[in-house]
Amino acid sequence: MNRRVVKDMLDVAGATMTGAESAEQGLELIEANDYAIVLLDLRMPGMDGFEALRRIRARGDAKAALPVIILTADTAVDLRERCLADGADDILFKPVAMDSLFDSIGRTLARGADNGMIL
Amino acid sequence: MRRGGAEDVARRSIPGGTRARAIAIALLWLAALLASGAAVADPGAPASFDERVGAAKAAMLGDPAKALAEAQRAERAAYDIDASQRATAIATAEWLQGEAYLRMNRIEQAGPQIDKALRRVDSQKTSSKLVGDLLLSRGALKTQSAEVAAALQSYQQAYRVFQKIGEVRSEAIAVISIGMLYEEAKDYEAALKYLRQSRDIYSGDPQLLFSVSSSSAIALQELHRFGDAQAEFRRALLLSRQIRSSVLEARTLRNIARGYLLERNVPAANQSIRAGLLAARDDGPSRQSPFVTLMAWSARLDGKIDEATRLITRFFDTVDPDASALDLREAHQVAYDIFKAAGNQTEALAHLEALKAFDDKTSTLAASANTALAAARFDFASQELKIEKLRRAQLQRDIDDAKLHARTQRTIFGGLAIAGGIIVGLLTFGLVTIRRSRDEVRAANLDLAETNAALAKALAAKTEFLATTSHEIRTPLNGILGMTQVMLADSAIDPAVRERITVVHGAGVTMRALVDDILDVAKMETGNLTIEAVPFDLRATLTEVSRLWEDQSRARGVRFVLDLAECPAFIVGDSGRLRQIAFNLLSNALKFTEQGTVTLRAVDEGEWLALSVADSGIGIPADKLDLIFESFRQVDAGTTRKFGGTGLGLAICRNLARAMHGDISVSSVSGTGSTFTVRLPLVRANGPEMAQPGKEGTDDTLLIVDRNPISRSMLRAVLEPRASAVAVAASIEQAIERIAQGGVARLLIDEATIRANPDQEAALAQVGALDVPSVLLWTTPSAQDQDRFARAGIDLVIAKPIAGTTLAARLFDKSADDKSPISGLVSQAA
Repeated sequence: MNRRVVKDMLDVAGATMTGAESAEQGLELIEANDYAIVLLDLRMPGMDGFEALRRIRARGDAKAALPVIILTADTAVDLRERCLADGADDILFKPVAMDSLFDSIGRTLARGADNGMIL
Repeated sequence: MRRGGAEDVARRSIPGGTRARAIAIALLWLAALLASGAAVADPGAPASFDERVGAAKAAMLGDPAKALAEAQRAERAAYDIDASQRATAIATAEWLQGEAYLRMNRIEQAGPQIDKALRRVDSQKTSSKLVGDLLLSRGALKTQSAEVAAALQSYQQAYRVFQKIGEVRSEAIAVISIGMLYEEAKDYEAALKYLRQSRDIYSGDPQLLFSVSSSSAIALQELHRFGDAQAEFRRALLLSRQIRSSVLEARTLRNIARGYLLERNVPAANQSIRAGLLAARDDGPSRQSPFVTLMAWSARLDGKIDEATRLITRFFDTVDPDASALDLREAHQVAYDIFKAAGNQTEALAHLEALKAFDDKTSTLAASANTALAAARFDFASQELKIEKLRRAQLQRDIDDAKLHARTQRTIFGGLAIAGGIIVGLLTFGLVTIRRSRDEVRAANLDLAETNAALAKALAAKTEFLATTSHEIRTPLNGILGMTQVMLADSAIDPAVRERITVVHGAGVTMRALVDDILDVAKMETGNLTIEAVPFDLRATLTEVSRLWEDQSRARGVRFVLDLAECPAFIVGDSGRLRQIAFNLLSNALKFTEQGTVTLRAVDEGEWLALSVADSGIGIPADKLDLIFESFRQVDAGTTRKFGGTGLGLAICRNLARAMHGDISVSSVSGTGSTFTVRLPLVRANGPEMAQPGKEGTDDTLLIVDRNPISRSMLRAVLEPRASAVAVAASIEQAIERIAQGGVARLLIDEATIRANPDQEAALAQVGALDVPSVLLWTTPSAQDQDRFARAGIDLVIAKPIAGTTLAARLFDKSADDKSPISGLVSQAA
């Protein structure tokens, strides 16, 4: 359901999204394709979000710097610090406001715009 | 159908039944019910069913086996009743069978009958007397099988049922049952409370009153409040005479005598003993032998050791095999005392050992029962979740096959009878059937440690519960709010549908606010709150907050005033939390104000910042001024009903204020209005000289126009650091509106926004015609394009793709490029 919600939101902004059901699947997709940004849930069956994030950042190639935004319903006090410390670019708390999502994506992409392009 | 009685109550609340005194009360009880009469009154039922039921009830006291048979016949007869009454009739029959089994101590069979009956009646969803009676029976059942927590619960449920249907007498019985449960568990204070309460509920039945007085007196004695105890016993004595029961009179006189002996008042004791013997003279040796113990005791106190020895020896020589455990214990106690005084160590020791055996068993029983009750009480007051947890962690006991079944009476009175004769007859019979079997109290294996751990866990579970719930609710909320936002973003939606979606969205937003509040409270209570301390613009923050509330208040016809005259500009603190406080206070103010004014004011008081919200609303009564700050509290239940809300807002405000080393106070006049003031330590900060209330509202605003929210946000992120102020718009129309508000120095518009218009030229012309210099972002414009743009009046064209830093430079660095509209083209990717 969450994936569907995010997908519909991104549709509004004209962005396309590929969803993965598990962290493992997500990592495979990242390996195989080029994405502008990764939206990562923390709680997943099997490998959790933190581990997935670490694995992305541990890559030896350019994709290690992929922008990652965490989406979570967790409300632990230090969650933001932990995520940022682990290398996430931003963290959004569910329920996610659509504007916040766009804002976060925009800001995160803009950070990379020094090296990259503005669409 | 009436049922239950003193006996029933006692039976219900005595695990293993060690209290002979309670037995007597129990005897009385059923008599009590008897007197109040009651027929089954099931008008549509054929005679045979009623007859069987009546027979069952009549036999229940003396011959439960017979009662069982009759009840079974009644059940068969019930199937002939027409459908509307059938379920009730069958349930009644099942209930009677259950009661019969209970009285025969066949618990394993009693339970299923009661449960069956309850299910059957529940399926009709009625609160009827039968349901209540069934619950009382279940309570008795649970007591019998030493499941004290469950017994308590059943009684409490019975109480609620009777309360609902207005059966005050049965209500009182339920309450007395609970009281006796506590008494058995040695929680005498609680027992007294409940017994007292029962009198408040119903005091029209002298037999009930007798039980209450008797039990209360016993509890008072245990609490060493001898004076009060004696008073209650005397009251009981009068009642016993009022209902003309010599047996109970005798028993009460025994109790009174004992009371005097405890006070060492020998003459009075002797008088009572004599009176008691007189009352008991027709009742045979078993009624009289307890008096022998008392006489021995009295002699001992009087210094007449020889006579005392003689008497107590007589007691044990002729010990009645039917003597109750309590009587025996008392005898041992007295005997020990006498033999010690007589210097007979051997005898004394023997009795002491016997005594100890009793004490061990009973105190274990009491301790376990008490713990279970404490667990149940806690349980009862909290949520289902905890109830489940504690039930699972219920006390485990090993129960020896009971030799001690002090069978207290279970009787259901039946039919109408002449009070006097039947009472006596029944009581006598009851006496005979008291099973004081032997002395094994069911040894209970109690795992106190387990229970304590469960309790601690349950307390911690509250916080865990709150956090988990809030998390669990957020996830589906994400689905709801996510989709409503997506739908609302679709401009093609039919207006009527849009309106509905807006309602759903609004409800979702309210839910989210509530969940956030609950989580905040949970965090506060576990000390997990973090407060920031950064410099921020207080005036801007408060202005922003008030903007949100201005519309709302205007809609209600309430004037909103923002007073920042004495407000400091920049301070160090947590702007988010401050916003939260202001938000909560304003929300309350507006909620409770129907007309007049709401004022948000911030004042620099030197050392303190005083943030206050004043309203002209309904006000708060003086005695509630403290209460309102507690979690989940509102002024009263009526407030909740009328105004809604969870009652968390003020609790959160106070927690936050205190976490920031300040506090919140309120002054209010009922009917006129209230003023809430939050005082926080004021730490000033340096801010930019120009009191800029934020990124908007200056004269140098860059307006970014982009229909795509993501790229809009990207542009903003890239340009905001360089610009004095940034505003955004999603379309040309919105841009025009924003320009009209003033302050826009320049406009940056993206290609996609132009292309979205069916008539691009017109769109370009619109932009070009604006008062404000316009900058257009376009992908690799050709020479023709540039002509077009220039003709339309665009001041500057910047080609895409372009790196963010480059764009910023183009826009903000002083360079020749800025001047020339057309030549300002073609910058590159870095």
